[in-house]
Amino acid sequence: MRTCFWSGKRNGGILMKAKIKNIILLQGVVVIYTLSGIMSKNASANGGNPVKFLVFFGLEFLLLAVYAVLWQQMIKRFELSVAYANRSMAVLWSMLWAVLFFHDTVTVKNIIGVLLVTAGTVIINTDLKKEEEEGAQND
Amino acid sequence: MISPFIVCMFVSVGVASVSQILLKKSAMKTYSSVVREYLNPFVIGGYGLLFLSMLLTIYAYSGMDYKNGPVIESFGNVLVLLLGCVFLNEHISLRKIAGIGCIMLGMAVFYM
Repeated sequence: MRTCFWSGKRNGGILMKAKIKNIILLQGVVVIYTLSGIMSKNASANGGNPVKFLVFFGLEFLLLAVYAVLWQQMIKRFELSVAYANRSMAVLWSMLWAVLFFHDTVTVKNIIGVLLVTAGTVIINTDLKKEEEEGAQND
Repeated sequence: MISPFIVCMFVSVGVASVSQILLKKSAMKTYSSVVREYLNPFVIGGYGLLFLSMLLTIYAYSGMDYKNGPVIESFGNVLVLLLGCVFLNEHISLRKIAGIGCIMLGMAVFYM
């Protein structure tokens, strides 16, 4: 079937929108993964209090279970190498939680590192060949 | 001589990468029910390998600095890219190579 210029352009726009939506969902799953780290840190800080320890350990386990279920859905929508590279953004989210919840200090090296990781992830996510077909099919 | 703990960390990354291939293999199939989608040999094997990887990582950290861990773990991106090409027919593009290089450099800068 012949594809006219306008319909081709429109399809490209729809695919791009679907791709952006999938990337946001994937980052949401990565955020859940990093939240389990907060629970892990809290569990280790409450080693002397069995009740608090079990609550945080339980929450960590729950978050990891939710992450595992959602990750399985995410890798349907992306090439594995792309989805896996997006997990690297965990370094950004973890740094954010470290500052917000634990008042950790952030160094210049940390910021440069996060910027490089973000740039790398954007480079991979903007590789639209083949990936767009897979993402759109599973959307 | 290379530290056995660092070698162990690389093995752990390799095992985790193989586990991702199994999970993706499962995700590429169609199942008759949600239970079968999650309780099948690929997913069980995948998470079994992830558990093994976790144990290897814990052992590796007993003899190496924490700052080296995430840097070595970022090597998983390269392994997943190669294994994905061999076992899943995923294409290796220049953008992917450049992006993964950037991510690994970022991890090194962040933790060094």
